[in-house]
Amino acid sequence: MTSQPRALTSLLHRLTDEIAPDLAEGFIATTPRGVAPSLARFVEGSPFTLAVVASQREADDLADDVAGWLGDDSLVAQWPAWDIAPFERVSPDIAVMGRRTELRARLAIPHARPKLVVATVRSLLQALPPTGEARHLAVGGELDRDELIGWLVANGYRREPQVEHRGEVAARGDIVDVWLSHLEEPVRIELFGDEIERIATFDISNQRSLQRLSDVAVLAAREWRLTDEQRAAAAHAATTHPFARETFEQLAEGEYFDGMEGWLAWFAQDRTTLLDIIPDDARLVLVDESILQQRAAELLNEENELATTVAETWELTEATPLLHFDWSETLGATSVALRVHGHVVSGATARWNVTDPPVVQGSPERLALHLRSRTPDVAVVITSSETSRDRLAGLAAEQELFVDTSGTMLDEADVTFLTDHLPRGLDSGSIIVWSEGDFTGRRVQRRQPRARTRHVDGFFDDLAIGSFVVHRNIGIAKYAGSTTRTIGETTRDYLILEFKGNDRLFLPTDQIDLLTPYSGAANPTLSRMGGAEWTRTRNKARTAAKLVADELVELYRLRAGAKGFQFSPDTQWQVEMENLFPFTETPDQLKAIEDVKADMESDRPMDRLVCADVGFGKTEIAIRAVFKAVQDGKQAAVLVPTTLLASQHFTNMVERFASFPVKVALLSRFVTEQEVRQTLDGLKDGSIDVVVGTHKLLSDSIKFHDLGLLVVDEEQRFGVSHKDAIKRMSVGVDVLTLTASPIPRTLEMALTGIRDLSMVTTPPMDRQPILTHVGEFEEAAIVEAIRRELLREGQVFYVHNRVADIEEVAKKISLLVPEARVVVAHAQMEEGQLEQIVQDFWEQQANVLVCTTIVESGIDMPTVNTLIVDRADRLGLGQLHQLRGRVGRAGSRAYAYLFHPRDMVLSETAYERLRCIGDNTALGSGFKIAMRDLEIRGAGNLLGHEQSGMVADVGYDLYVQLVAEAVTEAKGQRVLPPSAVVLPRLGIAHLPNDYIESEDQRLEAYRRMTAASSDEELADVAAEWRDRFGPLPAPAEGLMKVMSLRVECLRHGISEISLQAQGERTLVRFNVLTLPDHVRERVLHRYGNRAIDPTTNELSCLVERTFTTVEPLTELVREIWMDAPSVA
Amino acid sequence: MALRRPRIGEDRRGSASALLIVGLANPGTKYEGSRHNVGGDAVRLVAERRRVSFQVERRQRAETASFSTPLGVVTLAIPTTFMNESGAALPSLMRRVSISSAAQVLVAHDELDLEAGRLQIKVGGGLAGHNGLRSIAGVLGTNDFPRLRIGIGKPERKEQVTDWVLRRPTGAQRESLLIDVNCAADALEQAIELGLEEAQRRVNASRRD
Repeated sequence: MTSQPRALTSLLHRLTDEIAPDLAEGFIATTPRGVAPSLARFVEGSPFTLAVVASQREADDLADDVAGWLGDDSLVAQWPAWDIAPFERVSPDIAVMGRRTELRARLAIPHARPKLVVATVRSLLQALPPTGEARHLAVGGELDRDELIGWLVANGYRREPQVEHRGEVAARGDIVDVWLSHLEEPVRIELFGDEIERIATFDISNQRSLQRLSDVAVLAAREWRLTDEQRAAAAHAATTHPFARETFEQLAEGEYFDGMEGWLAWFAQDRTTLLDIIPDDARLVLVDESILQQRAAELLNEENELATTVAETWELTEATPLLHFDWSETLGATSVALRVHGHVVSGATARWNVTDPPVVQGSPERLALHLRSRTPDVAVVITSSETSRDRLAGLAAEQELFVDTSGTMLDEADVTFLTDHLPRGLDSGSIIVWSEGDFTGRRVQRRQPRARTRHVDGFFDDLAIGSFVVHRNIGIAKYAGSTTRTIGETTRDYLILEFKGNDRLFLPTDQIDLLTPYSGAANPTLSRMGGAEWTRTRNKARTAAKLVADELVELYRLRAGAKGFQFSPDTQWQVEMENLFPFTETPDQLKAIEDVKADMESDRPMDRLVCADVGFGKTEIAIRAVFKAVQDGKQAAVLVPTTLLASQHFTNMVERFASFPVKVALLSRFVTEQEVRQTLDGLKDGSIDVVVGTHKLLSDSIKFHDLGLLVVDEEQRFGVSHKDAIKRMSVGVDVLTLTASPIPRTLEMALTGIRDLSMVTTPPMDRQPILTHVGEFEEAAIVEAIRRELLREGQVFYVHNRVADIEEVAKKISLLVPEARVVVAHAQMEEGQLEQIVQDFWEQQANVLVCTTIVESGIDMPTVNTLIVDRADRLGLGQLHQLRGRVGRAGSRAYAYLFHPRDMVLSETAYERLRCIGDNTALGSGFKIAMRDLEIRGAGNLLGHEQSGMVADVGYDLYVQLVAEAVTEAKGQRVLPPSAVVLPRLGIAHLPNDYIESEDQRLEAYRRMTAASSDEELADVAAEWRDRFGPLPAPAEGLMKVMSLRVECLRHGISEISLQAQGERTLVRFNVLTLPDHVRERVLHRYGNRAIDPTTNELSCLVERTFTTVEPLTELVREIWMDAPSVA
Repeated sequence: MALRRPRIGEDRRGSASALLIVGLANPGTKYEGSRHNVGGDAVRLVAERRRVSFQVERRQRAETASFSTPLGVVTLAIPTTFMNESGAALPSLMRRVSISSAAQVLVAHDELDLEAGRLQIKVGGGLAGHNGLRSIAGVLGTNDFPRLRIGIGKPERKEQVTDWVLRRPTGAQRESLLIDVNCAADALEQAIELGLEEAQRRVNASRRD
């Protein structure tokens, strides 16, 4: 940083001085662009400002822009609203409560205050709950671990073995992990005695520390902490309002529970709002007061209406208290002396005529043209990086413009390129500022959605006693727990595996890499420990895997050699059509689109598989590919498994292609004979460009004029004969396959270079979190949920997964909610009837669809935003995840109600499953099972259905491992399957239970350890343990030493070392795979001619010493194998 | 009567508390670490823990080691003969340690009919095709001698039994066997410290971990 003033700040001053010198006394901006700079200047000259806007989106933009002009993010803060509705049963996002408590804490300290707070009408009018005290932790400070944990729990944090979500706390020894409500990352607090030794953020995906902090503020996870008066009032309410007695009692007890915030209105008699906690000298800026008032009225109206509807359900006669207060009352009632300073009116008579900067679409020519015709005093382009600044400046200089990048010659230069942060620029006539987004014409993303970390290899997270596992060399067993055994001087940990006939095996934890979880069949046959049968089964699976691999490689070779149509680069129309996309593409989505286009533009026929979770934007990828094909005069066919999907894709494409000369046709059950005939003719003579259809598309009567692209959606849902037809259709044509099932990571890696894969794992940004309620079945709650949805003219999926009484359930709902139009759909209906019902529902002829889990896949209904599952305890996590993915897809607020029967004691797994899905996040350990569930299908798609038998035989994970190995081998690369190294037991080498308390985590630690194949990786594992669990105790240090020997063994292909004491000497035996010549010579020379068994390659070396620790043995291996190349 | 530490080899003819523990195994490195040797290995482990060493006496067909306990003198023995002649060493051995009753001879052996990883103390019973047991029963003239049965599990098919018991297991199974031996040694210790009956009660009750 240089000492010269920031160019943008001086520009801001110049602008505002020129246009509105009396800004501090109030201002008028005529355009939205003018609001941010004038407000920025106003804020500079005021002690504290509160700005109110109508919506959260405006608040985001305004806060970002003002921070950009001021050049300091810490000066601006937002006051987000509690995003809840009456009786909703869900709590506001913990992150929102965290941001609010953080701001409340900052407001209380004069020097920590921001200068500007941006609020929305909603957040301003909401009742403000009383909140707990904040506290502060700093390195070097004193802290009582248990006291801290107690405080966190008392303030709404939940204690867990491992922190994975916001609002959770975990403690291990001297380490406390907590994801504080107001921080983007969790923090780790490490104690030394009663002193804080270290504070650092950490990564939830691998639980490793990231960045050290010197101190951290600790805020409550729940914003509302009931006062004693409120608790007393709740206790009283419990007696007067029996309909919610349980809830009021919970509140009276001071318990935290989901949805408690919805009851704040009942206890907010003092009518406190944000206005009561801002400084006395605050100045208030209302952006468009008339719009604000209008929004306030709507808000109150909505809440009232909802509350009334729902109150009816509860047979409540009195008016329910509301969370939001009246606009004029709130602004009038405040005791703070406020003066309304700004009154910003858009479109009013101009005082300050600031507009958007001229459109240049990133073109230096256009820039030059504008600057020459306009000659503004100052022209500035803001870039986000120095690289792009220098690149753009270079291009502009080529246009013979006087270009400056220093910022010191604003008036002299034709144009100045600066690196800074400003989301939106402006044009005041004499001054033009382009932000990077303005300049390139691309919408700049506010925040990059963080890529969802794929973390599905946590095998042992869910390993419970009694669950099935596969030992690669022995077979399927039942896990029977783990145990620590001391034999003589050595102590180690073992997993107990039970095989057929109750034979037990103690598996040393350093061989844990031979173990995979078993999934595939519900109750697999256990293998016999001494049986040869397993070897046969595994070899059979390996052969099958090899066939799959060979086929994949062969397909690849054929394709690599084949010539396909080479599509041209994007046309102008392509760009225009793509700009019609109303959303911002996610990075993954853009990457997939680029991949597809590159495939199409190459002369190789495309065969790409795009994996994207439900609602992650597969359709857009298909639309762009289809359009691109049509641009080159080719035809495109889109094949989908259901009539409804066909209708949906068809409608979508017709809409998107409306302003282009592209003819789209539909082929499905719902198309008349005559239309079909016309379509067939059109496809034959080339007058139809795009056809969307079900398997009807595969009929022999269909002839294309010139097919260039085939898109197959959800291929796995087509039968074998259809698949063959798809294959015939695909010859010489570019094929794009879409699927919602994820591909296992092991497989994905092995397939690199063989099968073209694009993974879309980032969720779209405007995707709202789905408010999920998990609880006991309650009729009133269901009625309330349906009413709430109908009130906003939405639709409801009601999942009842039993065909036998599904009609009764539907009847019951009709009785309970007479205004609902209820229809029923289930898989046992005749296909045509089912399709008709679903189609009608899509056309909104009904608003509640009572159905079995058939909605799980492939139905995209943007107007359905409530999902009710009446027996969620009976569904798998993968199923629940997919079901829930069906709602909340159109940017509106979506609800999922997952019920289990009243008073039913849920099994631990059912409970965990529901809780996990209720937690609403992607990274929970249960989520991994869900993903595995789905991956089993994903792998099935890729490998073919014939494989399912193999999956049942050896378990899904091992089978995928075998396929991955076979593919790697077929690619001509070396494969090293995991192999046990049997080592003598020397010293105490294990992870004590009091070091890593949770068994899952301990086993996972062992697994990570055995996955290490070099000393560097081992050191990394040790560093991880130190970080997560504290300093390594002696047994763990011992373990590391054993592992170091193991790494040497892996490197040299030593499968076993055994020791036999012979007095003062020891016979050391090595089993080796291969022996380099010079090592052979060395051994023969040192230990005599009989040291190597010529048939078994076993080495027997008589060494003049005894071994009590492992290091000398490691040394011995290093000596003997000195200079040997690694075989690993 | 004041308790006095009995000296090794002291003549305590007729003492009902003396115990002879015989661990069955085949001699030679070839069979080292095999399932058939778990009896011998367990006995060897007890000697190691007690820090007593085995001696091979002239003309005796077993390695032996003795120590005394409050309950009486204990002699550990591992025949140096092949399995099918395990009994051959017994007569002179019993004479030397003054044991006349078969009830005082505890034989530790591998047991196909018991699941791998399990233990059982039992008096009498069949010979289950075990060559070592048959030889001992022949010499003692009775099947009614106490045994520590160390479960090794059965292979899939009958013809695999020879390999199963005589070949050294590989990989994970070897280490697991070691633990089994260790548990067997624990059971023997209980028999030594608490007497056969109490040990039987405890070992059989804790068949699971």
